[in-house]
Amino acid sequence: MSMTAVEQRGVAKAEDRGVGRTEDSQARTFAELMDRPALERAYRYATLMLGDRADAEDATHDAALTAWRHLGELRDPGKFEAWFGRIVVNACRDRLRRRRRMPIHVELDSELASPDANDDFAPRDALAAAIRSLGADHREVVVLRYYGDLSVDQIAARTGVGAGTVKSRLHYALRELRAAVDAQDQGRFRP
Amino acid sequence: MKSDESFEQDVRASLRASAPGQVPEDLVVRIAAIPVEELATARVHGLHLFARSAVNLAAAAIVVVAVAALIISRNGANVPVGGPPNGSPSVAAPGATSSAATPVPAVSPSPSPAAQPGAVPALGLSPASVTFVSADDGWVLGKATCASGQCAAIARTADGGRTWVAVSAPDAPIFPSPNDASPGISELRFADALNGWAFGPDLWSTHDGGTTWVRQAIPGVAAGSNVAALEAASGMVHAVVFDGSAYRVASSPVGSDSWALAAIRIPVGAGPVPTIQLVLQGGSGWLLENDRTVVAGARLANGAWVTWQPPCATAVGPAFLAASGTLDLAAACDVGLWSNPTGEHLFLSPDGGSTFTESVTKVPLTMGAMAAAASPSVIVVGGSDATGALLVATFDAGKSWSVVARLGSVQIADLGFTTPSQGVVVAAGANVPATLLMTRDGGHTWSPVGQAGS
Repeated sequence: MSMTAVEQRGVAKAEDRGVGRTEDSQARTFAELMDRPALERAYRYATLMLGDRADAEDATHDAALTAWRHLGELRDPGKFEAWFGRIVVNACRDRLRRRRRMPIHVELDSELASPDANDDFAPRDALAAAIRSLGADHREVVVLRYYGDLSVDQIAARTGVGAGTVKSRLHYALRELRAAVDAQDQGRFRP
Repeated sequence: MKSDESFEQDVRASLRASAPGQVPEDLVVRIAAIPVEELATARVHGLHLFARSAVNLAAAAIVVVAVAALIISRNGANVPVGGPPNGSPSVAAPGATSSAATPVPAVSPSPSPAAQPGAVPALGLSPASVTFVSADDGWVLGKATCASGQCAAIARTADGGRTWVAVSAPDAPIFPSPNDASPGISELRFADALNGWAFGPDLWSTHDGGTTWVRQAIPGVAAGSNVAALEAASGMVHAVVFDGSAYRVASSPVGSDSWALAAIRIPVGAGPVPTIQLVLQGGSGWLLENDRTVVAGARLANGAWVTWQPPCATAVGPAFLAASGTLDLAAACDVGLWSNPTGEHLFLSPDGGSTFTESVTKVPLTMGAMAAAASPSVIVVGGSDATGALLVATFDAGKSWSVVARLGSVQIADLGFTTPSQGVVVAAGANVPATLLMTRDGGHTWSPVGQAGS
């Protein structure tokens, strides 16, 4: 047996080997801000927007990567949620653009994908399908308003469009959803 | 027809029902890895900069251990976390009782006075690299304060780490800066009481037990090439050198500086941070290159380095080798680290790396960093989980695992066994003093040694 003691691993000491205070500080800030609630919000929004969990994971990762690269632009850590929220919105838009009008694959939760005797289930399922069928701009404001509980002004800031546009999109989105559910209801009870 | 308010409630309920559950843990790990990936990429601008790649990885690795652990722990990732074995208290975070600003005692260039009987003198330096050639004889390379600031220093023990004296060190910068052109040393190996080498990226040798050191040049590679790894066994020393485009292996008898370059060339991978591992046991040896994932390997057989298919080549993650005999090889692999992480897996080879079999139980780590084998069935793997850096061990060839040391926010280096019962590891963090730890019971317990006041 060799009596030389150890196996080289090539790892070393941060303070001496290049992790400067700035980088270390940035890494720690990133770790502190990118907490579970932030990741949950990002991932759930991305899933609702993209309808595909793999895509949502990639979009969330893209957003986190962008956040890391632009962390120095975040002047007030207290505004991280809104700042990161805008990044997530844009990451999802990028993903949607890449699809180039390809049909969105919808991945249902297993409990939602299976039949249910509950009377409320079918209308809600129809509503869920209708939400997923909305155009991206409409789905975006619906998710931010009714899942993210953001105000119209907050949605405007998050999406970069005017408050009037947000209101308009919400109005037409809700009208579209209601029409879809009504059509479903009529179909269910048609003899 | 429902009212607007009622319909909006339906929309809320539908969205809540459609929203996914928790963030997948593999996504948490991927995001936790962003700082290390980005910092490493920023440092390595091209292959010509590779001379510092091992250092770059090291620098980045400390971030991933600290930051990933922070992100994962803050996010409550469901990672397997074992407890210390019964009767084996975990090791306290190195330096937990000391401030990072605690001055490091100076090491004089001449041997220190002999220790008083019963005294346990401190190492007198901040350890970076450790090497033992027997259960008694070992050396530690580290950093000490000196008139010009921070200097390389070496401490020697002749009683298994119980007492230490300072010996001469190469006149070279310790932990050279990330500047590509910076010369210096960062690691230390001895083959026996007389012959030793300090390296990374420079190469220095001594043949008089460290009294004098001479800087080496390896024929056939450009001056200033980076010595990325070095080990000695069976009368030969092998150094892995990056020549600007590929890894080369140079070998020499331990008692002379007669370096000969092997024909084999190991190209670097496509990733940003290639690193090389060199593991020797008797006349056998293995080289494994990680570049985020396992890229290439080489094997020392019948005195010659030849191409070798390393384990976990398709694992989409790095592997960490350890050997306990000329045929007994272990590989801890971060399977799917850069795709869909499935955790740390242990693979064992009884035939020198020709074939591998996965052990029964996964290694309870989120990410691995290194491995050491005391025997074919006793393997210690260092890495991190949600709590930070730790050592986990199996004493039954991977059937079961236990946490044997929790180290906190540190990076671990030079994990290895000198004998089946005695082993070493260096733990160092950005905000805690570096610590040398040893086991004397085959990896069951690990204790700091050579600390001031210990």
